[in-house]
Amino acid sequence: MIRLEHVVKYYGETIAVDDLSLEVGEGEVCVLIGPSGCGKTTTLRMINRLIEPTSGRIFIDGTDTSKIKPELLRRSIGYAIQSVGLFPHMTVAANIGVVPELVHWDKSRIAGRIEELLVLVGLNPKEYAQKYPNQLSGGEAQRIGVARALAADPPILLMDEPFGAVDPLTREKLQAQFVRIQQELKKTVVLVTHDLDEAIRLADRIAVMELGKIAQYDTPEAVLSKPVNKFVHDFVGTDRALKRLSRINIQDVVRPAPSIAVSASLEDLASALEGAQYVWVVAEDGRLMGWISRTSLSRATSVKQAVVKGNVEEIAILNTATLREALSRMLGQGFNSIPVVDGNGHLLGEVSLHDVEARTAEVGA
Amino acid sequence: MVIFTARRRLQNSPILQILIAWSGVATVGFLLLFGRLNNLSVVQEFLGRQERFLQELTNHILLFGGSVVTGTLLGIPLGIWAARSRKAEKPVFFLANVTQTIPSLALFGLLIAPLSSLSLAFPFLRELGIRGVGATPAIIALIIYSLLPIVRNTYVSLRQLDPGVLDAGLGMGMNRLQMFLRLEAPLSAPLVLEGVRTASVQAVGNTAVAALIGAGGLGHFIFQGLGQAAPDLIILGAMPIIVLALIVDAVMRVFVRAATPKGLALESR
Repeated sequence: MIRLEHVVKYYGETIAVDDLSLEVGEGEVCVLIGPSGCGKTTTLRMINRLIEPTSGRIFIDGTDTSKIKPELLRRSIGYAIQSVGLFPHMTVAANIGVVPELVHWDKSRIAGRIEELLVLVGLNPKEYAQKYPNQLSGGEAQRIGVARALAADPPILLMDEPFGAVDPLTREKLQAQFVRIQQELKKTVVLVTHDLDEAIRLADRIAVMELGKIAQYDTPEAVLSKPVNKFVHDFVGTDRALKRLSRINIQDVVRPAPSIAVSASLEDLASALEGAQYVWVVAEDGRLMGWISRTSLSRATSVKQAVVKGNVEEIAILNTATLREALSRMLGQGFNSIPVVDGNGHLLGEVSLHDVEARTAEVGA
Repeated sequence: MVIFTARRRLQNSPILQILIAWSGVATVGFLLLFGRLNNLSVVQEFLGRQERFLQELTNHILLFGGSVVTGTLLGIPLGIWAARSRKAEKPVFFLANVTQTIPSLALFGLLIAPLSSLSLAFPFLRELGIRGVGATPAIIALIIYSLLPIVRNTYVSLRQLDPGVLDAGLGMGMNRLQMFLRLEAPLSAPLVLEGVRTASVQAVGNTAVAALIGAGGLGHFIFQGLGQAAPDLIILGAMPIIVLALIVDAVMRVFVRAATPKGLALESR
């Protein structure tokens, strides 16, 4: 648990953090958000003493951090930053092994841990362990950055825009992965971002900061539905209802979808289409292939011939995505529903515009 | 010309590259070895002063080698200091730049007066061999010259380190020493050695001038040749200096390459 008590930071005459108090519960993700210059990064960096507060105290599990030697404090706190800062002269494995080595783990334990972490962040250890940072894509580097921060299994994680330097698609994947990892590991996380969607998606609690002070500290739902003042209101913007959809994971709303195997007979198809406008078509192994609508059925002689094939990446949405993305995909393609697949392309079900409407009404109430 | 184009094509094979670059020198070496060039007047001059030649060659190597090693030992800490302290930055570079603009001959001359008065005032200095002329002023001047490239490269190499890398290192709990040994030193080593290489090649040439103030070295033959209007004698001094510079350059390149961490070498692709 992290507790900041009346923390103040001056840079010369300028005040960066102004009498800030904050408590982050164990296993919680606290996202600091605000316009640039609001003091969010300064606040983060004071927690592991990369910046010393001018006054005020910071406690971790009840211990005053100013009483702990900075190096020792930092080794017990994971640290991931936007620029990643992988050490270019070390392999991926050596990069991940830095903190375990600093705290004198033995070699076999470090090697095991490196492999475990690479798997955790979804990279094949055999392929990646001996690569150098220059050989990685932006997204891969960010994942290694997160793996490195987790290396010595610290209970606390500080992240400064950890998914900032990548393209939107990669960022969305990294966020989904973070949510999954966090569900598994339950770290106490303080994360800085200026991306409200990211905050809404990842946070248990959001601290909206303005001029070195916390304007509102509450759950994403509360920040969106009950902004405490004009600043927060303006900051979260007018599309709050839409933003709330980012809080809803597809896997929580996915419903069984009408589907048919590609090897099925035309009679099966006819009965499947009875009372439905369309049916999803899957291969023998359960992978989504496309769909058949009533209109495309007319002159077909077999199911295989009738199926409208599509690029699965484009027509379907991953079960790790959010309802907001599903909505944007549906609107973009002009469909009323969208099939949901897992990472291997297997059809899990579907989400429709009705589901979106139902959920917005529910959250808004 | 052929050699140069061939070199460019063989960018990816360092060994072949070196072989080709040295093929010309090797040919001359072979011819010399087998006495095929004995009729050349330069060779005649050499055969006449074999002993003196070897002595001055050794002298030359000791002068430039000693200066560069000392210059490195002084220059790296100065460069680190300049990179770390805003106060040190300006004076260090002011000195290094000013000394670099003084012509070498003038610097040798300038050192004669203070050194001879020092050695007159303190007899123990004289016993150590420190006098206004000879090796002492030469070595001092050569050290001063070698400082700028080394200080500059050390400074730049530390300043250009990725701030994200340093922030990560610090944030992960490295102490000052670990930051230096694990991050700063290995990441800046190639550029620092590149400075030492520049300094070494420069020093080989500058050492030639040292003969003027009685420090010896291969410059001795050059100035003797100039005095006697004997071109062969000048070549006897100049040629080995060129070869020496090439050898030093090649050896230092090997060092630079060896000091470049694998992960950084990939970057240059």
